[in-house]
Amino acid sequence: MKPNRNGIFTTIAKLMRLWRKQQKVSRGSLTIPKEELSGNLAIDVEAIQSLFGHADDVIVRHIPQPPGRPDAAVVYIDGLVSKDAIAKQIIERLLEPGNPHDAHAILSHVSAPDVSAVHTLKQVADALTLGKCVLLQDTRREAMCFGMAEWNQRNVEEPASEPTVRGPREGFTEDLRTNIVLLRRRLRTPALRSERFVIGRQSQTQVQLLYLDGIARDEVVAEMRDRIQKIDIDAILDSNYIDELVSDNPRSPFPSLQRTERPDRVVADLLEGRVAVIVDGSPIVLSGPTTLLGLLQTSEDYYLRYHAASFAREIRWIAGLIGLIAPSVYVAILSYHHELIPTQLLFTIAAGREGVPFPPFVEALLMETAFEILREAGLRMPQQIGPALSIVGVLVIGDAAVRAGLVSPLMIVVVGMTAIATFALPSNDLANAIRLLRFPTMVAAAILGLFGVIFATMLVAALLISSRSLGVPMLSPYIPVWRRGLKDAMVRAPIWALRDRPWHAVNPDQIKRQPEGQEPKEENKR
Amino acid sequence: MSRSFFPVLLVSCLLICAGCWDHTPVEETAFVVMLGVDSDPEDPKRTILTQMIVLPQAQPQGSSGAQGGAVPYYLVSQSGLTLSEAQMRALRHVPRYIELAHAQSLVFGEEFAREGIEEAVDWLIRQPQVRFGISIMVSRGTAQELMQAEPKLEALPPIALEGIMREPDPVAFTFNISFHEFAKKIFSEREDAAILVIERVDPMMAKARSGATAQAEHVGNELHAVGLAVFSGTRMVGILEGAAARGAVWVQGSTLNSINVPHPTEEDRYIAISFVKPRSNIDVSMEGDQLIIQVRVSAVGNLFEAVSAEALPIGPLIDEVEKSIEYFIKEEIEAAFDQILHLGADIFGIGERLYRRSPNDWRRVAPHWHEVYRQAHVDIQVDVTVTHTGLAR
Repeated sequence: MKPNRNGIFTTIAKLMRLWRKQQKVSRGSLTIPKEELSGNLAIDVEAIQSLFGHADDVIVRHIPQPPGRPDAAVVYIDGLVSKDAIAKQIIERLLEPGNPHDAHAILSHVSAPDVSAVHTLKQVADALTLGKCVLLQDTRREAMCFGMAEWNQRNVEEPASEPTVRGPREGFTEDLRTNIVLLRRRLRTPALRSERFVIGRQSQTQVQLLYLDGIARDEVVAEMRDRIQKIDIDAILDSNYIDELVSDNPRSPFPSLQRTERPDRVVADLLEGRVAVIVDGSPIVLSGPTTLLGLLQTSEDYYLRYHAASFAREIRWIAGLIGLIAPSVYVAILSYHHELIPTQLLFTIAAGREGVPFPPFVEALLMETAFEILREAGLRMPQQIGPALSIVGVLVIGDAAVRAGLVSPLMIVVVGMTAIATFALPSNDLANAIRLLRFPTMVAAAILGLFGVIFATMLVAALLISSRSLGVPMLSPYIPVWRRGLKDAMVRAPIWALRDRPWHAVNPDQIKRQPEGQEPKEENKR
Repeated sequence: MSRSFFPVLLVSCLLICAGCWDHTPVEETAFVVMLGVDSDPEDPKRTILTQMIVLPQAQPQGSSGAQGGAVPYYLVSQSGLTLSEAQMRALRHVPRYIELAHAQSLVFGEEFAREGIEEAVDWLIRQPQVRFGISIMVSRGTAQELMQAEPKLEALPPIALEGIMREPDPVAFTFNISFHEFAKKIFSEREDAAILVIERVDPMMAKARSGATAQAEHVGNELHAVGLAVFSGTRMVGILEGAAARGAVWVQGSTLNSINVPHPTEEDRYIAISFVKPRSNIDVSMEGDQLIIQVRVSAVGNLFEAVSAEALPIGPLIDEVEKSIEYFIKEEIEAAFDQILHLGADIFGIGERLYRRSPNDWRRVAPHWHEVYRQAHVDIQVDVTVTHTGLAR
């Protein structure tokens, strides 16, 4: 090898490139033939059945017709359709004597509300998987699809991950249609646009892009549309697939889109000019562009008096900071900066740490890891075992660890504080990011003391400053500063003062939300 | 390639520059809360440094740690030609890293203070850990003895000291100064320092039972401020006690919480007066070679306690009471000035005041300032108004 200053790095880079090349495997070969229907009933039915591999839930009902009329067959997938409706609205009608033999004339006979005509096998397959019932007729190169979809689904319930004290209790479900209905009911304007995408080579998942036409900034809508269209993937099982595939900062732990289970939240986002993405099968709806401030806000902020709401927002900022740096500050101060602790407190801490065999960093790492394990276990466990876990958790983490001399009592306080602080954050994704970044911050604190804490915090700040969501800076309206936006940032101004929509998400002529002079007059009171 | 290499380089640079080297976990540190400096009786060239090290396990603590009765500190004394040497010697047998950043007070032994404290001040200034806010005081007797006190209410003597320096003791409150101020005054030509003299005391000072057998002299475990150690330059030259110390409080513009004056009408009875709004003003001028110090003190008095069988018809007698209070205060101030002029200790910064007032005069008298100061004429005026004659419940 010729002498090279960065010899080893060049070699590694070459290997990486080689490896990446090998990763480019050919795409899956399962493609649906685009051939058209033949017009021969037997052949077409056989083609459909073989396309589904003669699956026994693909049901074919032959409807024999008197001579002189073309035979017909109804095809559907069991469980995705309402059999009652098919029987009543289609099969019964077709069996009636004297029904018309012309396919289009059938429409005058059949009472199904949603009808369309398709011509290719692929379209037939798509229609079947969407829960439609397909009517094929001999000698016709066209099939009629009737929307008969009906399947079991969850009711609209209170969102489990975003409960509220004041405010609506409805949450999204896994069903796309229901979700859109939840939005339409709150936003009765024709300007609410809903664009449909079908993504996922295998899953054929429906994805809807929603926005308020005119208000949502055209560039943002176009950008989102463009990014969604570029997705080429096997399956979309949850909205997170979309989030990761359209993210501005694919390497950042911070979320780039807002996720919520609450329709009211999405409606508020739409009204501020954001776009929303609903994925069929996921109760989590994405909206963007979002900001760090948005991630720290809840819809409840607008359902409480503004004083209380503003206070809650400050608390969340503090909680975020505690969640990020509290264990690190503990480690740094106890390892390097004893002078910072008030004398009396220091002796109490020293007394607590007397006999603890580990340095503060190991102690903190131990306890944080123990807590993370407990948290993860709590998520994965059947609910019936929950109490057992909390008892063990309380005993192991709370008391026994101290008594056994493994950790000091103050460490328990710090870990507890940190844990509670991250739970105070409204966005689960933000809390996860902070939880994750806590560990490198602790390492920095152990190596460099408070300097390390500051260093790590600055790196996080740099990461946030450089992050974007659909092209909008994450720290807006602080960086860059937009003064009118500060009314709805760290504090929430009264509703009558919130006259502006966020500039970055709306079309420039739509920034004004409401006219001035909404403030109730003092003299009205008697 | 460079994109991944650069951060690695950056982080590895950081690891070199600081960090782990300074790592001192709390449990491997011995915290010194009080320092005492004495002269070595065996060798006049040597100095003894006493360090009070906290025992964390004996600290009262929540449910797990309380071990009643254990003394929460121990003392480490070493002598050396320099204080650094004395401290180094202590390191040999203290199994932990000694940290001085939490030292609350520094006590000079009386003898050491009389011999001159510049060595200790120099050490403190250069010592990176000790804070400039540390309280400075002189002990009656040796510092070592003082540090062996075991105050009851507070676990640690320096914390007890902090407590007695709060308002109830006006002398301690007024003259509790930090090392920063002390060093400034010590090295100033135009000002001298006055710091507290601390003594161990038996809390049962007054024995009610008379006729009991005389007890062996008992050294108390509590601490209190007995007076003011006045310095001239870096040497302690005397101690102001009693009236003189109280007089110094008045001159500083602070106030005593109460004084007793004779009852205007009844014999062997006293009335107690408390004061608010104390003011003092010192005016310095030169008349020829004569230094004239004008001290104006004023305060508002409240009748605090009137020991009398009958209700006091004090209203008409108020002038008389005021006069006797003024006389009383004036006497105390005179006592203070008598002593400090005699000792040549400029604890009120008269020289500084003169310098500010008329720098030319100062320059003229500076070479023989001490003689001028000793010969100063002091003019004292006290003005007390008693406004509240008190409410009886």
